[in-house]
Amino acid sequence: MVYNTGCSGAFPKKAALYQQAKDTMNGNITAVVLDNGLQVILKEVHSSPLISSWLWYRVGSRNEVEGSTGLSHWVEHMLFKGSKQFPKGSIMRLVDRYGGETNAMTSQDFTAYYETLPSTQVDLALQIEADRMSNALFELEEVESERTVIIAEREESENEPVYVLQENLAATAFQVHPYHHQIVGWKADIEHITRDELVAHYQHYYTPDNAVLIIVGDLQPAELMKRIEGLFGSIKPGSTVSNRISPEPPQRGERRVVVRLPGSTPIIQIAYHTPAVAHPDYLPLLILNGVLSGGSAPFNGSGMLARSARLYLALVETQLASSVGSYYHVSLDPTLFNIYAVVRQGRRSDEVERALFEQIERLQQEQVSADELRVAIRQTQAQLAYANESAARQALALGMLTIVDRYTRLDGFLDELATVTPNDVLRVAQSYLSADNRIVGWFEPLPGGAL
Amino acid sequence: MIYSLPITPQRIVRRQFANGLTVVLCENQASASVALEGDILAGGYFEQPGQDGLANLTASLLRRGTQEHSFQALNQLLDDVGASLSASADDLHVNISGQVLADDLPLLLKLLAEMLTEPAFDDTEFTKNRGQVLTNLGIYQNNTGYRAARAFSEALYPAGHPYARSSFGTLPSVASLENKDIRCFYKTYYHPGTCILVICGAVHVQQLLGELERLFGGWLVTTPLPSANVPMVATPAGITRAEVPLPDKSQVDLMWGAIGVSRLDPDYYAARMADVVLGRLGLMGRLGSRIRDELGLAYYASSHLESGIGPVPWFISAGVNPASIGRAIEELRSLVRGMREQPISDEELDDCRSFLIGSMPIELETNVDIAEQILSIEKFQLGYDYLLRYPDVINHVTKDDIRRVVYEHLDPDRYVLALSGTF
Repeated sequence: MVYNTGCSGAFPKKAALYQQAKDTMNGNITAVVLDNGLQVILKEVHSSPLISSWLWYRVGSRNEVEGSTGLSHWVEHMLFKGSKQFPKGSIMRLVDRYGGETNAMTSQDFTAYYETLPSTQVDLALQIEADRMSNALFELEEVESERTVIIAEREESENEPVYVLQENLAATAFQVHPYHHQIVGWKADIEHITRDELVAHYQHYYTPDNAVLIIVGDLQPAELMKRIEGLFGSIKPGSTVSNRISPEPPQRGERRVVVRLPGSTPIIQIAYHTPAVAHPDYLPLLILNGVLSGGSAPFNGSGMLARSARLYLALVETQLASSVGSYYHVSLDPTLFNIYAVVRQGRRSDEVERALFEQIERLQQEQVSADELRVAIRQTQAQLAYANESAARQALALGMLTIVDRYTRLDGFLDELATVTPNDVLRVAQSYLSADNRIVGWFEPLPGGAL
Repeated sequence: MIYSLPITPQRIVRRQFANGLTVVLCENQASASVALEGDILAGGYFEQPGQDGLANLTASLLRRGTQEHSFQALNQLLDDVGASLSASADDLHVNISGQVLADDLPLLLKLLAEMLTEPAFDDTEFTKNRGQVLTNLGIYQNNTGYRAARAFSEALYPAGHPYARSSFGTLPSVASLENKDIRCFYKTYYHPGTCILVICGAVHVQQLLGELERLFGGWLVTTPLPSANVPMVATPAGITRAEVPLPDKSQVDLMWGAIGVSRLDPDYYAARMADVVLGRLGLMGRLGSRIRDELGLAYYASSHLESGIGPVPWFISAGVNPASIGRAIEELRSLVRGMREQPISDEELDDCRSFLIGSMPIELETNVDIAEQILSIEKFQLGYDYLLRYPDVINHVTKDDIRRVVYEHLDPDRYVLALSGTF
């Protein structure tokens, strides 16, 4: 149990807090691989009578080919539409009955299913996931009704210019690698995917040797491991999962994309090809991201808007943009580092684009200060502490990092960040944030949008 | 482990200072952070006609500089320690939120005290902030969800009613605001007597109390104590349909509903349970089960009962393809009719009760969760034994109560419907 006993007075000492943030990240972990290949990671946190159970599959939109994009996301939907022991609708109903939460998410690199429940109900989470790992029904009628639901989900996104810009920008950035398409898939593909394709995708990727089970919370590992072995141990492993994904060739010159739709406000997005999490340059780029717009705990899904960071000062404070930011995807394969700005009323897109480029050039010409480096790390530390109050957010971090690299990296994450030097940041800015390596996207509002 | 509720009379320390400001503290040493939630009765209710958005702009300007620290100095101090501190306004209230590592709490509190008691309201910051709001309002004008919600509120409430207005204001109203309006609004309506500050996290409450009294006890004003009496509104007499066409949209956002049940009404719990059955339980309740799961008409279709004082809205929202609008409306009306005409099943009642009672540990997991719950208890004067009583309250609501409250508030033939998209 994490309990801060080392403090005195109203406010605990910094050193104690730093140690606690580290302990909370990765203490009390039991990690086992079952004979069928299922990786199991259990983490004891006894601050609340809860568990958060997450089953991760190493499959996402990166495992799809053109013509059947959106398969992974659709399979995720179908796993709530009935399995052998859990008829359609029963999973959410049962979890609600105990006051729990359940949902799922599909990304480019993974699909994850989770249940957060009172710790006395951990078995329900295990039963649900063990059953739908291999017994999902994919009834034809359910496949068809879900087709229109997914089209509606896509249409909801299409209503937003920022989504349309993002989709076009990614499709322009990735010409070979499947990060080319969005997770939901192209509409034409959703309209034509068949039940057989969904089932084949499910059977190929939903196997214990392609999955990671992570449970964080008020648990007893030895007892729980026996139950996991009992429920999952007999599920047969799959054939070796094919992972032949063509890497994106180097980009040889700036690319531009313009999206025009009715609207009122221009948006600028600039993306650079950058390496994946496992690459040594990930951390300097993460610090660079913090210097531009604020530190983050990326594996926990946490970040902050720092109004003293460079982008805000250079664009919002100067009244060029109404909002601005940057983000760096957590990914298995090389990805994009993004900066964006919403153009303020009365200003022009080219002015804003120029100001964004100037901030990039500054990073390439001079080292960031030691103070900027320190603040970015401190912000990350705070974001970690906030996120770690939640069992689900801890499980999210463990799972995401297991998929894209290795969870043990959480142990020394703050220490690793602290090794980044101003020169490292300068080097990655020069290496990756070049004009030839960038994709520039503009949303240009057409007349006819409401005002 | 044995669960002990974080909010009980024994665990809460509540004080009211001589100036009327209320502080509520909850020590939770299980994490390294502290959450702060605050409330002041200085929301849109107090705006004069034509000044829509004034309350929100005033609240956001609190964070943009004090007599001692400029906006950038505040940003630097808070960013340096990874803290957040913000203020915004809704229909009635100013909402304050902050989060900080425990050892930096003194800094956060000092800056909050400056914001509340000696804001700068600098002309340059006013101009910058107003411009950002105007740009955002421009973006909202092309957002189908926002436009449907605005059309719904404007059709459900009479003109001038505080719940008819948008807390963001309108393009013309915000454009017409001046910094002197901000100063005047602050001077007239910001009063320690309506201010509640809740702090939860790794603190020692007795020492913190002294610090809070030192920082906030000297906030004195001579203006009258503001109070709000939100006018009641009759339920719709018939069908009102409001359409906001926007070009080139793939999906239509719809809102359907009527006047709901005040948080202070004894029927609130029955209404809350009806809302859970209609649009929350499982995959968005009966609405999700029918409109999404069976018919595939929408990605989302759910109901929402606002938790507020007076004639709050109770509505169903959904995003549908333009070709499915008619079918979706008929289906949701049919589901409402079903809730009026037949009691919910025993299974639904049991599930609803166990969901509402069982979800407490999840809803109270983090310091932010706990602080928000405390603020709600304080605002609605529910008493700090509220969570101890809560299971009994829920278990005493009957199927007849639920049917009656739906019958009294939702009618498939008397409602407001708002749509926005490309028809």
